[in-house]
Amino acid sequence: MDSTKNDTDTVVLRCYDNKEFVVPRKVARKSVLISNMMEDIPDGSGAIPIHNVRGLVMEKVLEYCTHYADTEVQEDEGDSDEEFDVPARTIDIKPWDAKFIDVDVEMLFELLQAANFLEIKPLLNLGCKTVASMLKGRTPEEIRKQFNIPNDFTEEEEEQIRKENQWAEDR
Amino acid sequence: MATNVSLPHLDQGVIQNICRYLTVPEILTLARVNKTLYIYCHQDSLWQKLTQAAFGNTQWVIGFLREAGLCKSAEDSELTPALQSLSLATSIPEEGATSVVPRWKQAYERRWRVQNRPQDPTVVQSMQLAQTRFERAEQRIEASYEKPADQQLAFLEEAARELVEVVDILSDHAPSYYLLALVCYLLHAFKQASKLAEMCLALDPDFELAIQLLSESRDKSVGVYGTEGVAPLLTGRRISDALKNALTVLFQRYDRDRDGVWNIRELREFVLLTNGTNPSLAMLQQLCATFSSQPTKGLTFDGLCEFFVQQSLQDHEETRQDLAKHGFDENTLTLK
Repeated sequence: MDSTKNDTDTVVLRCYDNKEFVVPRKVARKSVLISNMMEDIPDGSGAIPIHNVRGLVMEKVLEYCTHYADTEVQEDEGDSDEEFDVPARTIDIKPWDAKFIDVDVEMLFELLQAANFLEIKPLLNLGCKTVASMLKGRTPEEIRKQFNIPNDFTEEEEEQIRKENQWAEDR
Repeated sequence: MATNVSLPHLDQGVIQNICRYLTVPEILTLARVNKTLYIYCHQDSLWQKLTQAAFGNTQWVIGFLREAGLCKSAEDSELTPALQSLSLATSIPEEGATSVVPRWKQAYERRWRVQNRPQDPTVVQSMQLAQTRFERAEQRIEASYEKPADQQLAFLEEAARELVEVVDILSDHAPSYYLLALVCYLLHAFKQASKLAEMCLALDPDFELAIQLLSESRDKSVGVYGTEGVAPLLTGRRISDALKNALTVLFQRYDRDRDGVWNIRELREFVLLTNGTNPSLAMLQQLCATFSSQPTKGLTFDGLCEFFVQQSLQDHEETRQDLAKHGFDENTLTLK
């Protein structure tokens, strides 16, 4: 098979709300999941179903993949799954990425889920960094408010957890 | 579907990835938001990574010791012995989210306290225990010097186990890494000794004994296991192909009667040419008794190999010089 020819070809992705995208293969290949599916599914056998992502989110995901279509995936140092680095106090995000990820919270989480499901590691990391920067320096109550999360702890439980983790508080 | 996602709806793996960019107090704050996040922020796998990032990885140390032939019985455990012995009976609250007590989180807390709360009574206590263990390890190593080889291992094993417990609590205790390196060195595991000596020096660059041990271990490691341009004498604990080939040539050369065994006369000729002095009959008999031989006939090729394996572990230079006397290149172990 002539792989160079394939790179100019396109592939059709169908989201669960039936929205379809015609995507250059090299863009689609940014997703490990789709890349594997393209290998398994013979050419011209129709659209690849992406059940877990809706069209609006897919559009955004593809914007990211298109922007980085010609960039080789470079694992940032410390981005391996196996080991953590001591977490940095500040989080670095590239300017284009920052602009791209400047979306409402709902879209942010859907992007995260999509990146996780589609296995697009750099996008997943970008989303995680973004969420992390929204959590830094906040109290539990502020986090609940920002992300609209109900508090399901009883007062006793809250007290218990506070005691449990007292050691880590700065004195 | 998927229109109402928020933080707690994300995959556990994603939350763990987010935690990669947070400090421990920030992670513990996140755990207080709701029950799902509490569980996600208390995963053992998360705290294992956090612990290893902040305090180093005792698993590496145990890995080196295993390569050196120690700590075999801990083979199947993922956790360090120290963690296994850690009591699980920590107060577990009622059912529901708050009942997760990850052992690795406790391990993190224990080490964090040692570094940040040296005045706490529990810390003082575990420091004392570590000190006792360290002293016991020193005594075991000391005692091992006077023991025959077959008993030495047991003493060194005991010492290593004590020291692993020490570094598990005091991850920056340079003297313990030095002693662990020494244990490996005494077991002729020179590569592992080098690695552990390096760990010691990373913590304390002026640790004189570790500097010496490192240079000796490296020297031995190169001498025994080879490097670019230097053929190895051994691979692991066994004879290397290069040394075996050289000895095959030698064995055939001095096996004058071609019977596959070196009799006393043949052995004497070899020793005389190697050492330059005429060996006593008692010494030759001793050689045959110690290494593989055929009764009444003499030393076998296997016996010769065994002798050189042992000598190489003790003194790699002597092995190379011996071969040089018989026309081999000291480094490549091939005939010049």
